[in-house]
Amino acid sequence: MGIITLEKSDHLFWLGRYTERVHTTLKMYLKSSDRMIDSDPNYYAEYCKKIGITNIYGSRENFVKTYPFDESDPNSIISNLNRAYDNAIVMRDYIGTETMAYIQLAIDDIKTAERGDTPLADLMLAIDHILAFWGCVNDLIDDEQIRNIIKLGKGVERIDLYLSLNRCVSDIQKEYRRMKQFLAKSLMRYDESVLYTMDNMLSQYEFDYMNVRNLLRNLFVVSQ
Amino acid sequence: MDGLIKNADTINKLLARYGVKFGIYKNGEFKEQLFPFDPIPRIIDNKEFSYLEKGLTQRVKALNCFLSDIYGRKLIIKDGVIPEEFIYSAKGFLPPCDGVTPPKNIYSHISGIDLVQSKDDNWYILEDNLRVPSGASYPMIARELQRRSTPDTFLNNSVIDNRNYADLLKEVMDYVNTGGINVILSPGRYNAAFFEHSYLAERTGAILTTGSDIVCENDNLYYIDYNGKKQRIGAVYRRISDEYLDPMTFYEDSVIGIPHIFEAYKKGNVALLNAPGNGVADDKGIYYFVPKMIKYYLGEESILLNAPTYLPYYEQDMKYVLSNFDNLVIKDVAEAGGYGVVFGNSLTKEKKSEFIELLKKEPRRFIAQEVIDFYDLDILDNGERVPRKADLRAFVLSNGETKVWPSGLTRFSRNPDSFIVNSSQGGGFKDTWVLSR
Amino acid sequence: MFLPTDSARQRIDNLHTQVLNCPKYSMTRDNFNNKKLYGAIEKPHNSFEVTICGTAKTGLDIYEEYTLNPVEYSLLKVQTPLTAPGKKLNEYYKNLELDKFSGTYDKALHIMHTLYYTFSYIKGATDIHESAETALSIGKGVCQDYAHIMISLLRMEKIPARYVVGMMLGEGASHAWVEVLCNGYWYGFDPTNNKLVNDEYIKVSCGRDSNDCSVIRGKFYGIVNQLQTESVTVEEV
Repeated sequence: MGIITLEKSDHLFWLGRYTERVHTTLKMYLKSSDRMIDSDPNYYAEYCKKIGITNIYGSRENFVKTYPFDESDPNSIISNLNRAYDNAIVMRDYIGTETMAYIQLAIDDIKTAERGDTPLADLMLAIDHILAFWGCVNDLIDDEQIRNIIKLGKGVERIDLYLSLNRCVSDIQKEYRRMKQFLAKSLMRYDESVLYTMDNMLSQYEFDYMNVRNLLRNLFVVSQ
Repeated sequence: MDGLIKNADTINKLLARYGVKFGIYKNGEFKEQLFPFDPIPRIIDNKEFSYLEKGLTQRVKALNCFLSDIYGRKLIIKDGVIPEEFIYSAKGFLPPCDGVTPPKNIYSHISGIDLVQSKDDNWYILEDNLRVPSGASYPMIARELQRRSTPDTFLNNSVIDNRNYADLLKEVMDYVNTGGINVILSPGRYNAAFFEHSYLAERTGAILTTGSDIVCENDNLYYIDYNGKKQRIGAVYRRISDEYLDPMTFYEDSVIGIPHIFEAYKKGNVALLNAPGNGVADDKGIYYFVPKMIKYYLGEESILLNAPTYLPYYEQDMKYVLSNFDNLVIKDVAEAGGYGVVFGNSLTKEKKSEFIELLKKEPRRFIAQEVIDFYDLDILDNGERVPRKADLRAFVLSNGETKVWPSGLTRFSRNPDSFIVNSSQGGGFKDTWVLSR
Repeated sequence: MFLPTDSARQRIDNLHTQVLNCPKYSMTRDNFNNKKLYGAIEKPHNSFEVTICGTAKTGLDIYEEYTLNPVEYSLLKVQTPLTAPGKKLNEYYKNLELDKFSGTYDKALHIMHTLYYTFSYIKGATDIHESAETALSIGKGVCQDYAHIMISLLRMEKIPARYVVGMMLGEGASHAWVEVLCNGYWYGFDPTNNKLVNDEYIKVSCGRDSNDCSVIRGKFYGIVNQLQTESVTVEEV
């Protein structure tokens, strides 16, 4: 292809971010519903607080029933997946029909899970299809730049989520190193001074997670 | 074929998987719908296809000659073959295109000609679509998926492969390209045919764009990448209509067009597929004159038949229309997509006199046609074969030579009482097989 | 925007074009042979200005020669959405009793006189998208409405007529009038002033109706308030 416009790079980047958000939150959802069975029935409230979404669920049952499925809830998993789809559908010519199909299939999985008798088990199919999507990104997209912009989005989202979920320092450092590789290969414009500050911070044994999140948010704010 | 019927669900599932949808606005809200696919193909044998091929090639050649004449020397008017009112009052006649010759003098690169077969086995032309005919992508991807689900069917029947449509389209774009990349200009994902735009871009290697990343500079078009680098564009397969193409020349409030693209085109620096202004040739009022055009430009008799058509504009025809109103179908020449079509016998007494009033007031606005006794095609309805009305959109591509794609879009009405097959009104589609023997 | 050009009636000399803020612009001719200057500014900007000046020698002839291919004038016999007659115009047309006049020129003259005395010039009575039919039912309007109504009536009589935009001595804005095809020549009629077009008029552009020849046409992307001003100065030299 060779030519990616600003608008298209944006779609690729957000396709990566939303797909990753769905992937990680789906896994978190399965984990948290397990945790709420006996040890911590109100864990959902803490979860909402951590990832920064409004707790509109009111009860454990309601959270389990609606958080993945409710399309009218902008923070639900399906809403984020729909956003991934919105970014994918306009990029068919860059990522290919075959790759795109896995986002469509994941949407179908979540809808089927909502109607089925074993929603939690059925949701695992959505995770399978998201993984297949990433497989296609690696395998079928020949253009290195396109691939790396999508994966940059994925990397940025993952760090952001890991920071908000309070994952351990070494996990975050590892994801940060990966993200930086994609950043270099994506040829995207970013603020070098922000990256420099982040480099310094993340090379420490301890750092303020909030600060890193803010820096991450400013990484792509580049004056024209 | 039994295999196809048995695997109909599989194919529909695969179509859903690949996002084979069209958009539709219901109560002001955008919705994506699957385009219902029927597994029983329309089959056209080789001999019949040769006949259609000859007729369609002839028709499209004449239509291209007509466009070149109308925006050029206008001999067909001077020679009195078509009354000037029919040209100048046609909505599709665009004065800014007057005197402009498109690259390689091709106006209609991709023509979608709608035909129906009647019970007496004749094919009739329903209408020509020379502006932005859509639909080729659906049978193209459906074939791909059918070959995957029931390979034996295609092993045992000699069906000509139709998946070369993208190659044909690319050849056409390359042929008229003025030096630069090919792009497909789409109004965006909320357009009914967005699937097709994106799929054709993927398959032809053209770049899909909504125009926001295109600029016109020094009468050349450029595509701008995210570092601000510019690349020249040589051909635009535009899927937006003429009036929205360039706010500086046409509809001033258009937000999806590209300012000054028309100047670049006028100066020969970019090819537009199809050329702006083609609407004058696929106007429902001009349809009546196509057989006369064929005679005039090519010196041949028309191979394919027009549905018997009357122009209330001519006094004699008006008389006929009024006395046979109940047997005719009346079409508003300005409407498309199955809208503005009225069956004489379907009107209440009140509505009928209202309509006749309008007809007398604006005779140029309508044409009347005999209702053709359609040869129905079987479709599968809850596992049972039932007959339904269907038409065929044949795709004819012009790049110096004129080629008919050996397939087409067969659309059918799902409602047993309806003649209207448009996808926007709930129709479905079938694969169209052209046999190699 | 359109620039005045040479014709049998006028000659344009020393034409200077100054375009501020816009480094790239080009020139073209449209299908009515109007000369058009156009360009685009991609960068954000606070203002944009075009100045055209030059001298026009006018009144060289009383008509313009007919230069188009004979069938092309037919386009100017067809009503456009702005000139399409409704009830009011049909009625007005009937009362004109144009069959009493034999020549095209006399018919046009009669229409001009009648319109001048039955329609009032009032600024602000109509807006720029008003059709001839609406303007006539209101009974008042500006030069654009006079011209549209006159064109509509001429076309009802199957006489080719075109809308002209130009400038007039002593007026601070652009003006509009009508050209009528009589015996192969275009004659100018100014129904607003009940005057035949003479050496006080400088023609800039012409077309089927005002949409074809609005002096300035533009598209602007962004969400801010914008203000457009236009000024015309015509002096005798």
